[in-house]
Amino acid sequence: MTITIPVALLMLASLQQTDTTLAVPPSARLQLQNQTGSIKVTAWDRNEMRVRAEHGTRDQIEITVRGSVVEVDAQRRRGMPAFVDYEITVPRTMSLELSGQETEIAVEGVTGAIRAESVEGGVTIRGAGGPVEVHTVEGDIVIDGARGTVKVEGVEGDITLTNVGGDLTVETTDGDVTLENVDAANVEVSTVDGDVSYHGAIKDGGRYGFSAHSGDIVVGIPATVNAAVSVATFDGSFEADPAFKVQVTNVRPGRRFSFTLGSGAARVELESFDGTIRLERR
Amino acid sequence: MTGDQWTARLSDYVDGELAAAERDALERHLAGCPDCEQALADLRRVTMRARALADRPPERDLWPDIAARIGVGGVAPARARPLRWRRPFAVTMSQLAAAAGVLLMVGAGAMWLVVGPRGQPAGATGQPAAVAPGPSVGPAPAGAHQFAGSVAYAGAVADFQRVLDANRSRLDTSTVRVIEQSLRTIDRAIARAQAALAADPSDAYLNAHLAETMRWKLELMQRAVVLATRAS
Repeated sequence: MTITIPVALLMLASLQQTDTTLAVPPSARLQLQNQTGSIKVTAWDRNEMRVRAEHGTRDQIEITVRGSVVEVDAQRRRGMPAFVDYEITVPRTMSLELSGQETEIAVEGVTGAIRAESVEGGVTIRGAGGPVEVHTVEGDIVIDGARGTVKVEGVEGDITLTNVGGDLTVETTDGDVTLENVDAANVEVSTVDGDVSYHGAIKDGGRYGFSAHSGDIVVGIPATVNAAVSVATFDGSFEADPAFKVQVTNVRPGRRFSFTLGSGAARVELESFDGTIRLERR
Repeated sequence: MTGDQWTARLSDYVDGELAAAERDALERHLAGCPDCEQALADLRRVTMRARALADRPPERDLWPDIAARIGVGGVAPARARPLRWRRPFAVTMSQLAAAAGVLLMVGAGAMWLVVGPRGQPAGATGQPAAVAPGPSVGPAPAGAHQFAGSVAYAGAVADFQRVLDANRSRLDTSTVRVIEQSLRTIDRAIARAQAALAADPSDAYLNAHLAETMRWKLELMQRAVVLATRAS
C-alpha cells in the first residue's frame, strides 16, 4: 500500500521549511536522495520519524510510505530542486539509504544498517550499531564508534575510522586512510596514492591486509601480538620497532618476505609498491 | 516519475523483475525518451557481454603445473582475498559488474592459479622473528602483465570509456575532473607495475599488485558509469 502524506509548509523569506512527523515502525527503512545540500540524521527512542527540510519555495518535500520503506524526496514542478537541507530524526533501529550528488551526509546514533553515498560531499557517521557502507567520489569520510561491519569506497578524500569494532574493508584511490583504536578481526585496506595508518588490535585468528601503491603504511600494534606477517614491496623499504625483534636482510626489489610474531595466530599482510612499511609498537 | 527514477528501473526491467503495470509504464516512457532508450541499449549490450564472459570456462586449469613447480599439493588453495575476488555476479545496473567485475573474476581467477598463494609466513616460532623469503613461483606461463595487455581487459576498459564519454555531460565537471585524475593516477600505477614485471614476470607480489590495480581501475570506471547513467 502506498500512502503519500501532504506536509505542512512554513514560508521563510525565499526559503521554505518543511516540518512533519509521522509514525513509522522501528524496523522501517528510510530512502532519501538529495541533489544539493545536506542530510543530517539523528536517532531517538520513538517509533516516529521527524523530517525537517529547508528548501526553495518552488520545491515540495514528499514523503511516501511503501510497506516498511519510507521515501523522502524533493520535487519541483520544473527541473530538479536546487538545494535542500534535511534534518531527520528516526527510530534508533531504522535502516538508512542516503544518497546525494553535492551533499554532505551526517548520521549519528543509528543502530540499523546504514548505506550512504555522496558524489561530492563528505560523509560522517558516528555511533552506528549496524553494518555501514559508504561510497564517495570527492569528499572525506569519517566513521567513529561503529560496532558493525564497515565497508568504505572512496575516490578522492581522506578516510578516518576511529573506535570501530566490526570487520573493515576500505578502498580508495587518492587519499590517506587512518584507522585508530580498531578492535576488528578482519581488516582490509587499500589505496593507490595515499598513506595508510593502522593502530589497533591484531586478534588471534584474524586477517589484516594493508596495501598501497604510492604511499607509506604504518601499523601500530602491541609487541606481544601473535601474527604471521607477510611484507611485500618493489621499491620501498621496511622498518620495525626493535621491540618486535624482526631481523630483515636481503630485501631486493620485488621481494616478499615473512616472519612470525609470537604464535602467529593472526595473519598480517603489508604491501607497498614504493612506500615505507613501518611496524610500530603500540 | 522523473527520468532519473525511470533510469533506476532499467536494470529491473532487463532482469524481468518489474510488475506488469510498471513494465508497461516504462515501455511507454521509453518510446518517448531517447536518453533512457540509449541507457537501456547500453545496459543490454554490457549485460550480454558479461553473461557470455561469466559462462566461459577457464581455458585450462593452470594450477597443477604451478603446484608441481613450487612443490605443493595439486589441490588449488583457498584464495587469499575472498572478500575482493569472490564477488557474486548479478545483472543489475548498480553492479555493472558486467565488463568489469566479471572480467576481473575471470582474469584474477586465472592469475591466481598462475601466481599461486601469497607468501606464506614462516612457522610459528619464538623470538627473534625469523624472516623467510616468499615462495619462488618460477616462470609463469601467464600473469597479470599479460592480462593487462589482453584484448579482454582492453575491451572492458574501452566499453566503460565509451559509455562514460557518451554520458560525460550528465556528470558535474568537478566529478569528471576527480574521476579522470584518479584514473590517471591508477594508470601510472599500472604502468609502473608493468614496467617492474617486464623485468621479472614471475614475481608473485608484482602480479598480484598489478591485478589489484587493474581491478580497481575497472571498478572505478564502473562506478563512474553508474553515476553517469543514473544522473539526470
